[in-house]
Amino acid sequence: MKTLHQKLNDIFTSLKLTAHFETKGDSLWCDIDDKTLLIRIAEILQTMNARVCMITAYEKDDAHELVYHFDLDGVMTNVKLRINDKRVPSITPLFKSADWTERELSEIYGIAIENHPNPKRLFLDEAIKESVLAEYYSLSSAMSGKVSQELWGRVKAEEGINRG
Amino acid sequence: MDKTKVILGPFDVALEEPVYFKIEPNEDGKTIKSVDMINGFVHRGIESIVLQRNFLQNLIITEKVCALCSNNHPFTYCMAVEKIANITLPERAKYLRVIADEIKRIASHLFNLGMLAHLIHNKFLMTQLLETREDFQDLKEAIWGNRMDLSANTIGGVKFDLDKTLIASIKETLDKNRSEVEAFIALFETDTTLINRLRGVGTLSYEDALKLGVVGPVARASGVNNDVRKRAPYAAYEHLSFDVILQKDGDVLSRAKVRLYEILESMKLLHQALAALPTGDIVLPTRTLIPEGEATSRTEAPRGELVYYLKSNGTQKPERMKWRVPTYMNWEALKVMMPNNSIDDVALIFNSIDPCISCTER
Repeated sequence: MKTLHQKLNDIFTSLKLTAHFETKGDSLWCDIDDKTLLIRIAEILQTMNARVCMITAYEKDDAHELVYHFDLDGVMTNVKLRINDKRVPSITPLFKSADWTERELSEIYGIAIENHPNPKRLFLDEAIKESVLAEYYSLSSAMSGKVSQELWGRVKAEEGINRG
Repeated sequence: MDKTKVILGPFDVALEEPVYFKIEPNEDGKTIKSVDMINGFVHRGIESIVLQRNFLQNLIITEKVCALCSNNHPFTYCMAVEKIANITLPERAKYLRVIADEIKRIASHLFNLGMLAHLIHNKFLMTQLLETREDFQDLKEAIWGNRMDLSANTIGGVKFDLDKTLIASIKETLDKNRSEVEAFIALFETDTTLINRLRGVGTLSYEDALKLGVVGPVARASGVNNDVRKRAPYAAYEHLSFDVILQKDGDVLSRAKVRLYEILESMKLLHQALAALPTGDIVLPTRTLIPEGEATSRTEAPRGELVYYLKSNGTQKPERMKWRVPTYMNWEALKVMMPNNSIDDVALIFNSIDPCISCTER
């Protein structure tokens, strides 16, 4: 991990990027607040054959923090990005492995993912509004499989459209 | 005329969980052109629920996320908490965690192979596979009192210990079933009917496996070594020797073979862990308050890499807790595996990623 740490920071210095990785326990961490820098780092990690394990989002003092967890040669490499405007560029064009996790954070926190190749909802039905993590929904209405008169009505309506 | 679409779901075509496939057939009406999937039928918002419980209560919630990987969730969660609290585990606890996990892995792999046999209508093979699994279910019941949710882990150690009788019964179960597993392997390596049915079905190339970031037996069947036990060892794995099983064809047959050979590796690991089991405490004697901090942790669940992220703020409830299960990564690969296969094989291919939907949607 030590050599990897050194290598990443050397690349950042040679490219004059204002970011550096620190070791915390058994993983690497890097804090940034610039979205273009995120893409630059993602591009570097992509050339080093990293893969996206997960992206975590959470609210922090009226802003959001996104933690990108990459696996780089067996080492968990985390990049923490702070955003104030609920918008973030997609890294899915670089990493196919980021597809689902970007869509999920988008529907749970209402964060717009710019330039995502497949920006559909992942789990939540379109009828549920975005940014729902802290809200209470009964189980049957949260699951898009809710079987009710309402669902049946929607099926019938769609069938009507399909058959003209 | 409208283009015909084949709809499968919204129920799991292999198990009892819901998933919804929209399949567009090729001109011949028999093979698949493209497949679209709709998810979210069992999304329960567990990531929100865990923020309303304290760290000990969350042990129980994480165990309930999924039945087949139920040991790995509290295991990985405990690892994250322990990292934040800077806890070093007693050595015996590390080995006991490995033992619980490997027994669970054997039972899980046998279950998936049993389902494969069921889907190709080989009822005799299915019975044999599930009977073998039954021995491991009985073993779990004898040690943990439960056949699925073991409740083996706790923050700072484990909740169970092994005495001489239990160690003997683990060894007995392993010895009794080793030849059975070897017979299954011989069958999957030589039986022409079985091989012809499974070979070339649902292929995922090495390049696609890397690109999609698939994990677990799905990755290893395509030649990608993502085994967390080797790549980023945890618990006692760095002291134990085992081989990572790799295949290169990336089809349903390769995935089945990876799981079969991995059962033998798990048996190897269990024998070593039992032989090297250190004496001493199984859990730290005092409860620890969890300080402010953040950590990631991961383990190799039966289906592949399981990742947890935990952020604490000094209170006794998490500030954010997120996890990503193996099926989450493998699911999208179905869109690559399925085209140009027979529509009849959708369930077979789906089963070959060993899907866990309640895990994936949380």
